[in-house]
Amino acid sequence: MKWSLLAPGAALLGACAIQHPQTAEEFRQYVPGATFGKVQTFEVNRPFREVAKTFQAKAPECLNIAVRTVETSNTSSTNILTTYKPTVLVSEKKAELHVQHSLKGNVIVPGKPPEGGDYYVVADATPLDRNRTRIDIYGPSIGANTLVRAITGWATGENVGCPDMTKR
Amino acid sequence: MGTRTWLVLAALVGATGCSGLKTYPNEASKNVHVSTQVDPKVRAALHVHEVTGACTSRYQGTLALDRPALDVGIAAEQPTYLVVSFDTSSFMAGSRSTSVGTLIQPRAGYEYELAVSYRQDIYNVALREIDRRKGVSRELPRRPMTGC
Repeated sequence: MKWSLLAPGAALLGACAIQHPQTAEEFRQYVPGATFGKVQTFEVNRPFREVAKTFQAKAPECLNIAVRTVETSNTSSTNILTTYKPTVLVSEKKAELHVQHSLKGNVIVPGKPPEGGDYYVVADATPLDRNRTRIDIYGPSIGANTLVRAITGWATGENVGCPDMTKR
Repeated sequence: MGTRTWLVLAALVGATGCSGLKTYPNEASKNVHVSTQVDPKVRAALHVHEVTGACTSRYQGTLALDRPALDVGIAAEQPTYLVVSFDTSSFMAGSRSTSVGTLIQPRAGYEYELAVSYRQDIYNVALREIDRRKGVSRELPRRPMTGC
């Protein structure tokens, strides 16, 4: 049996493993200075309310999932269940999409993760004017490309599909 | 059946060849029209489960979604759990499978369109109910087994 210290590909989690941001706001503060952290900011030509509605519709539909990763070889095996938890908070001035994940199986994550799991990606939408919205996405620089592309599609409205969370 | 609507399985190495799948007979009147658009290396399939009550189901069979259009017959007025799976495999990444399921109880006299797509690791599964007599249609929300 092989015990994995960290989930494969979740590089930011590695950095967060000991210092777990306990809230989305702590995660926003943490990511810009993290070695494998990345903040992406862009504008979309879409009203804030539409972006918020899409986040509210797609996040629970697409991200309320679990991914089981199984690796076996002649000498070892790994079996990890990653459970994702999406949360969408909408106010007049901001829509927040929080994606947390927790790991179970033969994996060791030092430290104490927050309730619901470690923060994985946080996306904020804020209105610029009637038809334009600013998007800020906080997450790992590697290992979350598919999820970030999906969130970008939800924000622009050009592709409202779900990310294949087995793909990083 | 799990509590979650979707279960995603990534079997990176060592996937077995024992799938246990059988071909869905597809003998009922063709009331579900499936359109499929997937990347070349993605294998999509439709798995049909008869809901037998108390949120339990019996596997009926599988159809490969390997062509742009496929007509499927699902028993009318009977709850059925449809699962669409997307399988990919590569030498470096191993095999991965993602699936999404929804409950459907086809109404007699209605037709259904199931639009399935998988492009660049983003997928969509949308189900519409069509009333040809009135010329109207509506999108059906995804219904997990836990909601039954």
